[in-house]
Amino acid sequence: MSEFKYGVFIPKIKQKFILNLLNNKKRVDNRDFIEYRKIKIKYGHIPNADGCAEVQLGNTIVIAGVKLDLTNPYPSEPDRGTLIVNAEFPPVASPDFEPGPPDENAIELARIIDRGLRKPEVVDFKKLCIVPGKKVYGLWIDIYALNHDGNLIDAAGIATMAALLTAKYTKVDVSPTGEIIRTNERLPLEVINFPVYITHVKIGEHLIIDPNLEEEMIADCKLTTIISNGNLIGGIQKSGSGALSIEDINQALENSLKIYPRIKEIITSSVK
Amino acid sequence: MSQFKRSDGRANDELRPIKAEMHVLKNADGSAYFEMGNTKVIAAVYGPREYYPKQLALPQESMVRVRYHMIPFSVKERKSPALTRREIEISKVIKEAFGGCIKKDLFPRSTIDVYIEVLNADGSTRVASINAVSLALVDAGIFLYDLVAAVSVGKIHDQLIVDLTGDEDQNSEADMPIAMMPSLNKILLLQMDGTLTVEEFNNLMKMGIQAIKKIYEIQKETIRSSLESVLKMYGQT
Amino acid sequence: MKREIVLPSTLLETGDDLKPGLTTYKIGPNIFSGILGLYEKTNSKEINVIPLKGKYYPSIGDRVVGIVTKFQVFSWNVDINSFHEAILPFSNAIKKERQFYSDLNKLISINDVIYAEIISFDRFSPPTLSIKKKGLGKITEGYIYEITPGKIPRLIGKNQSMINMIKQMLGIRIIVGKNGRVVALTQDFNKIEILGEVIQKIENESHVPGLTDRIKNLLESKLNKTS
Repeated sequence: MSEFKYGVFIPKIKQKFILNLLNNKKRVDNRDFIEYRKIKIKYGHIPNADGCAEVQLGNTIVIAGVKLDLTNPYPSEPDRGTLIVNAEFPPVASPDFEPGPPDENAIELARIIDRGLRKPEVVDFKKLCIVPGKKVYGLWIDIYALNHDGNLIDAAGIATMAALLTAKYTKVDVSPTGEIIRTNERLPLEVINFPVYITHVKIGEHLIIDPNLEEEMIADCKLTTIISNGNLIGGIQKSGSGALSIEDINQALENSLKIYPRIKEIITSSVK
Repeated sequence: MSQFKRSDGRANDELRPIKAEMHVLKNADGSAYFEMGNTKVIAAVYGPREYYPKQLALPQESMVRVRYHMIPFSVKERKSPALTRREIEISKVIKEAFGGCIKKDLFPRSTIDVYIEVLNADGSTRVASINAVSLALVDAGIFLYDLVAAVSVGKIHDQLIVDLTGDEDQNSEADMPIAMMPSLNKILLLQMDGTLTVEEFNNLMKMGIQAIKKIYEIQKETIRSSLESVLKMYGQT
Repeated sequence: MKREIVLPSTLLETGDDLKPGLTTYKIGPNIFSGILGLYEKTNSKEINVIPLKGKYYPSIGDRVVGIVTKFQVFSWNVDINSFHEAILPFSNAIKKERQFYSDLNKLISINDVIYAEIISFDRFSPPTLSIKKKGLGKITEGYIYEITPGKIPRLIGKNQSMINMIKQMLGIRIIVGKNGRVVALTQDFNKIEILGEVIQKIENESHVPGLTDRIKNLLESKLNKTS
């Protein structure tokens, strides 16, 4: 006997309503199929973080924090800084989220964000090396959902990029005896690549971008594409148990390439 | 006396600037944001709602559950996301504070769940959390005998001070968070870490209660202003 | 009558013969509010506050809009936006006596929306629903809105004046659940949007006098735009 989870219900009449609207080429909030909700970005308001950004994508709110610390490099990559992306869906964001370690959805989100940051590299990780083989900077990215109204992935992507673009870390010097000395100088992270995460969902035969919570819950499946630097596909993830046609995927990629410059512009102009 | 100066120039009994807002999250039944200087917390309340498993629900009243958690980048050295013993203890004392303020017999066999996320920690995080939770409970429409207002007091370099920052907390000879229901004069949370004479303790309590009354006014003002902005729009105040 | 905004611990009245209600408490002869709400002096000996927030507190005889969440052996569990789920026993769901349903799931299933009456409730047990009476039953299409239950009386208005005005001006059927759920029985997207704005306005401004006129103006301006 499975215990009931607190949750968000989509009554059948609502599902019918949303599908009906889609069949008439409309969405509940009057958006186009390839239109994003309003994006608001706040950054730099968490003093203890080296970089932070809070993004509102419609009613979805996600905060990302960047911290750099001194750590040991991976043995296989002795001259490069490390990258760890962590994401949590805390109960504050939805009655659907239970307290505890990240579930498969949070872990999937973290790994998708990570993929876009690793290849091509979002920062030059070689520049984050301090003493090869011994000490490097570890780049931590922590992503927290604060209110879930659909499409946490894209919101997380925007928050992560805004946080990286505005992050500053403490410069260290290495003494002749190999001692590591913290200076008072704060350096900006040089961001050399710009991934944008763009998510579509398939509902019936309709492909729509930036689903809100209800659209996401009734969707057959989801497709996230990562566009790097305007013309490269930096990653793809299909999730959900429905099926996509090749046309769907091509359409999604085409939409993503078209939308990339707009989202990039929103992020860069917000953090000037 | 000596030229004692707090690092941010405040007087001994001066509070840091406070910012508070209700109803900041849409999914939670109630929510609030509370800032005391650079300490920034967000609180969300769900409930009263069913308690699962049903057979373990309290038969005569509602349960209250609290989870106080600090986000990894809220502190100077990144903290692992897993709950530490400190967070578990703070969750417990906050839960017990509100246990005395919520009228629980209205909703037997249910639970009221409180979730706190500390976004930036600069001392006095548990009292900022309590101040946020009071507003979040009101936002959720939960029956309270009174709001709970809280402040930290302490002793540093033999000086008695109010509203400790992170540095002051680290370097203090004593730090004491206090929470109370100001209209009913009831103390719901009291902890002290360090050493104090009885006289110092009494003075700190006096200072703390005075500061709490100020915070209480700010909480009430926050609640009223969320409604009054609409009244003003129609020239109705 | 002037309505005052009150908070937990606001002193409302003093009197040994007065009694507290579900929203107030008494210490000595004093009655205090326990919630954020509107208080209006009345002649009643039981002192209550109109809640501006919070979930639905069930009352026998109330008609509510529920969403079915679970299917048990002889009943369904129904979410009614309260602190307990309600139960709809199979026996309270059949309209015709001695009717045999081979598949209860076809009758009512998970995520269905029903308009039901609360026929029994006490704090310690979940509320029991029935859909036997005329006008009750499964709602098969329409759009659901949510509003704070404490504001439903405002949406209905004195002698149903507000809700009748809205129904008439929009020309659609509307089901109002005492538990804060409202259903527009229409597929007209434009009207659904307008009703959404009306409900949002009532949610935001129920504590500001003159609401009826403002709602009337809103409806007039929105309907003129589209005609």
